[in-house]
Amino acid sequence: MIRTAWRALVAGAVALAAASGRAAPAGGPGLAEPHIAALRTACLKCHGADDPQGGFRLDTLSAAIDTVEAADRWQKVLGVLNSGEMPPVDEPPLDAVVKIELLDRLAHALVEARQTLADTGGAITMRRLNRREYDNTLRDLLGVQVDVRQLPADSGSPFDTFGSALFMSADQIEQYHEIGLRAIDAAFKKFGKRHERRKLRKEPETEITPRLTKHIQDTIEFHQQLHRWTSAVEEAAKRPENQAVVAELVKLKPDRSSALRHGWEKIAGAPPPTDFGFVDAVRAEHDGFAWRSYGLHRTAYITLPGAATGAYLTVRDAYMNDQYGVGLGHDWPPGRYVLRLRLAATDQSPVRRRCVEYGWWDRLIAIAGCREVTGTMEQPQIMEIPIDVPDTPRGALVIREKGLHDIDGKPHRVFADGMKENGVWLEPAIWIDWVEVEGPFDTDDVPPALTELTSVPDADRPGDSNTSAKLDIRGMLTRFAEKAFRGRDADTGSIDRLVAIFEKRRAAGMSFREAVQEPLAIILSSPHFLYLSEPVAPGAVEAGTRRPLTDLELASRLSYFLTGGPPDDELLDRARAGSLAHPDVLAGEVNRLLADPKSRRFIDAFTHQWLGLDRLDFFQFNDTLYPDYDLATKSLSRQEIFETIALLVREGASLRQLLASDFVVVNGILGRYYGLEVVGDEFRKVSLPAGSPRGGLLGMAAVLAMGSNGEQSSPIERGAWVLRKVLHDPPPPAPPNVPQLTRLDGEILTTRERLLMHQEQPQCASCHRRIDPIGFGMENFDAAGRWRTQDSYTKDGVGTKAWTIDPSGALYGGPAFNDFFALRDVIAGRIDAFATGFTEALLEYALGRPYGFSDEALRDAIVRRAAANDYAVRDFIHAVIQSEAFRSK
Amino acid sequence: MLNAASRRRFLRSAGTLLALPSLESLGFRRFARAAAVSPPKRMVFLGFGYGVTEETWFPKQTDGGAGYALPEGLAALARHKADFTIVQGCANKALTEAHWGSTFWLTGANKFAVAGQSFHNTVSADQVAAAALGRDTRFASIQLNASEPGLDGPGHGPGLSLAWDTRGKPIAGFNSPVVAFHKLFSADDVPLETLQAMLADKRSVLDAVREDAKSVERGLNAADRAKLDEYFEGIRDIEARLSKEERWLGQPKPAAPLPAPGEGLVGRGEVLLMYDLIVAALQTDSTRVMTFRQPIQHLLTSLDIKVAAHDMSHYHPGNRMEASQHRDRVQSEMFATLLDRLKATRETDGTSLFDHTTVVYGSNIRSVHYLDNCPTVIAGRGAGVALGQHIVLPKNTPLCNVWLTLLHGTGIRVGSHGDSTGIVQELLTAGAS
Repeated sequence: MIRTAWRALVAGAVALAAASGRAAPAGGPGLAEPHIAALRTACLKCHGADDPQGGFRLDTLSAAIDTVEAADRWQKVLGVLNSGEMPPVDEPPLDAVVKIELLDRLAHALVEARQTLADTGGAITMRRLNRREYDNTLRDLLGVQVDVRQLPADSGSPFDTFGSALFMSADQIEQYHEIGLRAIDAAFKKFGKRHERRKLRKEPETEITPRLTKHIQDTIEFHQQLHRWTSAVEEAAKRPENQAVVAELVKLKPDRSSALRHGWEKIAGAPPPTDFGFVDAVRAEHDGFAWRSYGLHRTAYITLPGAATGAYLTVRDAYMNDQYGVGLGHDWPPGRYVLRLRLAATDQSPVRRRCVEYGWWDRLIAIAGCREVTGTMEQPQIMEIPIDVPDTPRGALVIREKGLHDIDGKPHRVFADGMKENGVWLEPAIWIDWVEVEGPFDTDDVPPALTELTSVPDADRPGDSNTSAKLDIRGMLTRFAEKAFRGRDADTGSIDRLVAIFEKRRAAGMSFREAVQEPLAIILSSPHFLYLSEPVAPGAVEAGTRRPLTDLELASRLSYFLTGGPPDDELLDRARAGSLAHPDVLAGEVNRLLADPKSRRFIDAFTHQWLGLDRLDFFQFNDTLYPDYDLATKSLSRQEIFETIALLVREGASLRQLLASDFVVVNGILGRYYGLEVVGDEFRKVSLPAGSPRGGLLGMAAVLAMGSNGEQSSPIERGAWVLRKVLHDPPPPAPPNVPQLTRLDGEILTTRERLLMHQEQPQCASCHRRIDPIGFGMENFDAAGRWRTQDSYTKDGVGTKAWTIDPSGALYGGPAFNDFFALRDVIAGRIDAFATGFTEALLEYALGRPYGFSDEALRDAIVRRAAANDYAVRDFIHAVIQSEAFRSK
Repeated sequence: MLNAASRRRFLRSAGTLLALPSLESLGFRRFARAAAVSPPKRMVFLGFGYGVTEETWFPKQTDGGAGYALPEGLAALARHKADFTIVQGCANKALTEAHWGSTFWLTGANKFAVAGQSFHNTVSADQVAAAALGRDTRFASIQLNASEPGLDGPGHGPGLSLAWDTRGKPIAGFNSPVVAFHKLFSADDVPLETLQAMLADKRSVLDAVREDAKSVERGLNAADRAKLDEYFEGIRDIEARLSKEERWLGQPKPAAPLPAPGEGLVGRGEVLLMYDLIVAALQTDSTRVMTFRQPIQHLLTSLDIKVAAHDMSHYHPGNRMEASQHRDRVQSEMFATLLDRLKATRETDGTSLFDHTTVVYGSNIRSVHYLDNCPTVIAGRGAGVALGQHIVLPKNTPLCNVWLTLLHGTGIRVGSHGDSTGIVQELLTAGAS
């Protein structure tokens, strides 16, 4: 009996492995006879039919892992093998080699079985907009940006488009309603009347320099007064009758003068601090020594050549312009503005410090971007930065030198570093002549959904004979709903209720806009707006069968895929004309949308989730070890990946370029981080010199940085990432309850030695033999992705060990490689595996559900089609959209 | 201002109160109960996600009973040693996710239980409690979350708080002490009629979106209808809340027993503040069931620990283990402070809040990737369980047995919870208060 069960399991495992295209390594069996024999010998004695131990019978275990129950029981088997609980200590152990293979197979088979069990057979369940799409939809519909962060982030699944994980709750319905009200309000503010363009210009020296000058004079004055007072106290202290008191006082503090000042009342004849302009002794100390803490560098500041005509950006001293803030009055409507600066890098500043970062002060500053400063004191530049001004309440717009304020304490540290050099401060690197904010530039571009509503005068009141009588509120709400519902009509019953709500508010004396805000917000909280619903055509279709999407449905599915937002008018027109489903028309629309800047909302969001880039934010980089990998640079390194893929899409280039290429897509800051000569803020294609380790994902700083903990590189993270994202051979999830390795305390090991300990136990070896070698091959990159040849490790109280990195190794199942370049070549040769993983991810994102084994034929067809055109990234996208799965309900 | 329909609703919802001494004054009811009946029972669940330092947090398993030695990781609780019980041996057996310390902690569900779904969960113990204990308070339950972003990632696992509703859907929480404070204590200075009108408006909003939902529902297939049901359930939940709000109309919120907190506290400061809020919410009887999903990385950062949270959880002797132990100590200190506060806060009958509250403190992860022997500390006399004990249960006793025991002890006699197989008799031994 057990024989049959095991046979069938083997068959099941083999079948699963073959079906997944993710078979055990070349020539490797599923569960081979030796494993089964071993299990039979090891387990059946106690877990057979007769009085099974713990009530657990192996002989009745269902053969194929095709039910939840069977999977759960096999999970138990895997669990006790991993935890070492079975076989028990007093029984003979499993042979280590057999155990490794068995664990490897069983873990993979279970992952596959779980995937099969979760397979929805291709059905795409209706889903709501995720937070990102909801945000985009409000922007496209209403032309405004509102804060949606109170909604859940929807980040729990591999992709935020997975309908099964997009829940709805009472809280959320209330939040949609509240955000809807705010969005309508912001839209009326922005588009509800004509806004004159305005300009604010600030000459920062007019605030900063006089304030500093006055402060310096005050501190000098205080300092001198303190000196005078001290002399007077000292004089009195010399009197013979004070000797006993003085002897007691000086015991209290090592600083004699300070001790005497604090005890001045006990010293006969000492004058009070008030005679010298101080409130009391404590304040005298404080004010008198302000000079020590501030005088020197503030004096240095005002004596700089540009202090009279502009302002320098500094650090640590808020009085001295460490972050320059521009507040906009709250009568400034939200919208698109320009921030304009005339600025320069100081002559002696190092190139790496010639950057500014900017953003909105919102409790903690949210960095919106950073720019290189190329102007010189001789020839300052004028920098123009487009900015989105949010609705009120809003913080100030802040400009500061890049990278000095990333974490608490950093300003003090860099300032102290500067002091070590020149005894005074961190010398400023950036000088600003003036700052301008101009705008708004887009308040005349009223979105179509709002033209009619904004044309009713703001102040219209009920009974206003000019307008009220003519208001076609029913028509207005119907037309707004149709836009909000992406071309679908609201039913009359719903509109009736909205009209009634409007009328009731009017009857309460509200103006048109006040009254209409609520019905509009209700439309924005309605299921027609929040869900991508695809009802079955009346009379048609039974459960379990598929039907083609209507053109309107297809338009929404397409635009949410490629632009993360609702279909634009052109797409809706095609849909209404009934031509969208035609493959050529559809392909034309795909090309049009991919050329639209909004396609970046797809590329960035998809890439971020596909490659798991959220890990970049999981930890803080050690800024002493990696001062150049500051927050702004980290953010640019993430952007590099997006820009690269955008370029591949734009140029019709091959997915291969992500595995190895002779160019990178960088801007000046990132280019210099890689040691390339690049100037300017825009990302562009830059050719690499021969022998560069850059070019392709494996050489990108963000990918390498994710494979670290912010301090040290992590070969495990890197190896697992490559298996998961590149080689389409994901390791099973980290198993619970594996016993800790025995530790070699008191010894310092190289990274490689440390990780080779993973081979000590079969439970670890079964995965780590695949993971670790790849990570070793990438060890020439440090935690922040810079090239290195040496590494070292310091263990507190034990010492430091340094070693030359040995990047050689062999992929599990071969081939061997000598260094990173050879590893990269091997991986670049696995384009089919990479393309397969990419396709699965693209399908998951586009269809909003997990990839299932029932998608296999589709996936393979897409890969084949793309392969015919050298794996052009665009071709994958086209193939997914033209597929029946994408076009059917 | 009430229209006929909402008046009917009002009366209907108020009908549940008819059994109580008086309908004319809710305030009187509360007063009468306070005078005549013993204070209500409460339950608080504190989840810290990643586990503990096994070597220095758990008492020796051979050292059971009341005379056990308190290990270093719990030493800060020494002054409360007679007032809490530590339980070893429990696990949520279906859990396979080595980084999910909270998702199934209070539910005991099997993620894979339903074919065709890659995720499944069931109701959490706190919500079972809330269904019974939450009827007479302004808030049926309150869920608190640390403000740390990404808290639904490694450490705690997916979820919007520790709580999951009867349909196994995540329940949102307050993500900052400031928000929680204002919900609990900030006064509505709006006149009663206006509040009633606002409620009526809210109902007409609900009626409108329900109308739209019905039109979406037409023609949907079964799976889509099930999805849309979440929306209908959401509307029903809001309506239930509105009925509750209606019952509480004119009942001013209690005066805050603590000053309004400021923004920006994270880590240790935030936990302590949340603990203050928990005491304040219970003390004012604003709710009787609370959960708190605690910070992980922020706690380390606030302690100036440089090790990243996941690295710390994979500790080995050296700075990672020290970080993990440091974290244990601070967590125990903070927990001890909470117990101090619960003991010091008096009920109207002179007993303490501690006498009527059950506080559970723990995680689904023991340490590293271990999911068995979940760290579990129970304090408070609310459920009448034996305190001052170190109880070692057979390995892999369902953690839900503990939850079931606590629910029963609190007077909520549900037949089972999660994968429970029975009551933990050891928790019920005589000597409990």
